[in-house]
Amino acid sequence: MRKSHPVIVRPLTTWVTIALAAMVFASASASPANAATTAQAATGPATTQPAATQPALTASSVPDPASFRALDRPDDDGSGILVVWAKPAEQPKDVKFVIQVARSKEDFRTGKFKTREVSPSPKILASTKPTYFGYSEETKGLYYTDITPAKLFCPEEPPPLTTEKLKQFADQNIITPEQLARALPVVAALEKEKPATQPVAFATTQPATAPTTARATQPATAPITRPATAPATKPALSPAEKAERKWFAPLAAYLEICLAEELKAECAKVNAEPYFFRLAVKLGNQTLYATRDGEPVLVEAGSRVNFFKWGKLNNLVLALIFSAIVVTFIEIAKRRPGLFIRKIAGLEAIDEAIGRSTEMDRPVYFIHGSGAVSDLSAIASVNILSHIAYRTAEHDSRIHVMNQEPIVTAVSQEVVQQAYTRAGRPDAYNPDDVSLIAYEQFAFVAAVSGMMVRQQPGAIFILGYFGAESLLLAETGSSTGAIQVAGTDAYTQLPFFITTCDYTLMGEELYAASAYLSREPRLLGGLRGQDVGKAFIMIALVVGTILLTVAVAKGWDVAWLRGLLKASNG
Amino acid sequence: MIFKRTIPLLIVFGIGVLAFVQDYVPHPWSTAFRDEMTTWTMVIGGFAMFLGLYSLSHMHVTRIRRQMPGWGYSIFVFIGAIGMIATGIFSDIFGPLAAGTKNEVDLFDWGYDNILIPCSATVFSILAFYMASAAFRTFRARNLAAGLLLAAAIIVMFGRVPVSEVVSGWLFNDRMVIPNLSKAIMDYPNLAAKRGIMLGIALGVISQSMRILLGIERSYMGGGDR
Repeated sequence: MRKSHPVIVRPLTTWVTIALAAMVFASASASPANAATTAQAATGPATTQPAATQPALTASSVPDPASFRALDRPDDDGSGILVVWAKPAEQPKDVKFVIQVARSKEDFRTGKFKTREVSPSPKILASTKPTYFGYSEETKGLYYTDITPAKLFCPEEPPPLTTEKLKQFADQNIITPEQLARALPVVAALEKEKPATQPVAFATTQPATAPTTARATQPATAPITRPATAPATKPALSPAEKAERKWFAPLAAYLEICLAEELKAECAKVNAEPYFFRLAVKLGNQTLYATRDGEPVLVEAGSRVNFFKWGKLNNLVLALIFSAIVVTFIEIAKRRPGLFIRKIAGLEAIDEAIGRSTEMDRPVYFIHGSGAVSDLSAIASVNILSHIAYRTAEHDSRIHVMNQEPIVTAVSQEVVQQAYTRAGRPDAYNPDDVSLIAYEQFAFVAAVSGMMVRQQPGAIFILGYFGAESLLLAETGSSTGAIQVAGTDAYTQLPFFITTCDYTLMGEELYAASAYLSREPRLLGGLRGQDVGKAFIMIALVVGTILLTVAVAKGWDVAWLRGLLKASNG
Repeated sequence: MIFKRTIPLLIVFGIGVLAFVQDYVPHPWSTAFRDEMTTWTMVIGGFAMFLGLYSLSHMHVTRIRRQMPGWGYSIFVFIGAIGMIATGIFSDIFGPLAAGTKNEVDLFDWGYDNILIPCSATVFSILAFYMASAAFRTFRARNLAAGLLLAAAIIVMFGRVPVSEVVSGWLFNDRMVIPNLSKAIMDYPNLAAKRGIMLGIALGVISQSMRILLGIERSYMGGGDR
């Protein structure tokens, strides 16, 4: 429990708070952005004078007005506009580009525009976004910024839940008249209790005096945020009032979702409108506009809903090519079984490990990673588990499957039970052998490590996605003398497994395991397709490297090739 | 068979293809589909939590009942679980354990901050010792490859501590040879190996996804390798 401040400190803190607030207010009033906006609103665009210590902005610091344009962001859901302008001839230190956004030309005159300031840096060069601007040389001399109108013109938070809003919800049939009648006094009371600066909020941040549904909407680990202005003590509530507030809490949570949905719909409308843009450069308190015939240049653009992320076209083409290769080899494998597949030592060792465990009369441990069932590494682990459980049942040995994730636990139970049935030993299956151990990372480690030390398993399979628990588990397993086979696609954990385990399945080998172990021709075909894809990438890398080297030596323009070889995330 | 195999496989194929397409389509319908799927995942996850809880309880009850080795630890599982569930329920804003003033923390948060987090930190801290023992085993120069690994490890580890700059300055006439060499090892051979593994993983993911979407890989459904 934290101690409250001594009484003597309180006046001091009050004065400090007032002084800080005054400073913040003063700096906000005097901030260049406000100054420019105020001047703009009052007098229209004009050049402001430099301070005595600042270098003066000149015409060469202003981007070419002809280069200034705005366009739809090509790969989004209709929420973004790109604003582009040329690099000016001169860029004094600390200069900033100012983009002013308004709904109409008139709004610039009345001061109803929003401002976005951008500092020049290589990160805002158009050449850094070939997905938007292509690979031409021109892009190296262009700056851009991404504008989402809703972020400028919409409130960040949904409006607070007020009595007026409640009545609106009742008019829209979102709540019944009975609910309205019951909720109105509660909201009215909460409105009275709230501090002057705080909206009534129920689900997220909230004064300590108000009822909350924070538990319902926040993860269990998240601390409850309480505003600093909240009153220090709870008002005394009668049992009837408490009961009413308790009744209202879930309804408030639901209505807050409605408010958030309303805001989302409003933001989508705001994004869909056309907007006007102006460009200026700012240095200290000086502002110079990009002008034509003495008037600031105005450009107009609107955001459109797009149907395809063109920036990911190369990604899609490659995915389709590799998919086609895999499908082709699956078909080939169906007609010509017996494809040669390279040996994977870690998978060859599985039978040896289970056999040794059986001979030593020790259990086999199968430890799942922390991935959810939607992760491919978890699915791959379950596939391997199916094979291991089958072999374990055949050897009449015992398997313990340790899980961190409830759905993976349920799937693993089904898989192990089926494996025992296939092996002709359904009676040997014990549901307690496939169990959720702990949901928390280190609680899981502690539990599994303890079990390892007590039960001394003969073989340990550690498969799936792992974080910091990898070394803790593998090192404890190593100390028990068990044969350890690990496999993960978390490349940061691979060195730990290689160090401590007898065999390690690295990355793709984890995915290959199921096909490799089953020897089913169609699965092996998929595996061969994977290897051919890898060969394709290796050839592309070598050829690409040679081409780029030659291009640099000969001075060719191969920006497109460099872009193609770069992985694009759209 | 139709309910146990065909329909689930059709669902996997349909949702899998839609999820693939969704990644390339920015339209709000596509985003709405993704959000809907995420909600379904959370709902299913919530129900699965009960299954997990049942599985955990059943295993530990059996251990206690049969007094299996280490059964005493199972009692702590129930003490911890029941304790946190109870404080979670009663720390509700109207509950008897709720925080009274803005400076107070309710019992649930107190338990989380003062029991679970320190225990987790304790287990995590063991990692430092395990790293040392694992490094000791790995960095024994038994052959050429192990020798190279040892040399690279020494350069990288030494190059990443401030004293390496002092030693470099002293040995190489103020040139940062050791830190630069350490950086070069991380930036070139290490990064190349890492990217090689990542490319392999990407291909493995495509291959595995195709096998699952086409219904060739079905082990995860509990039906065995075929």
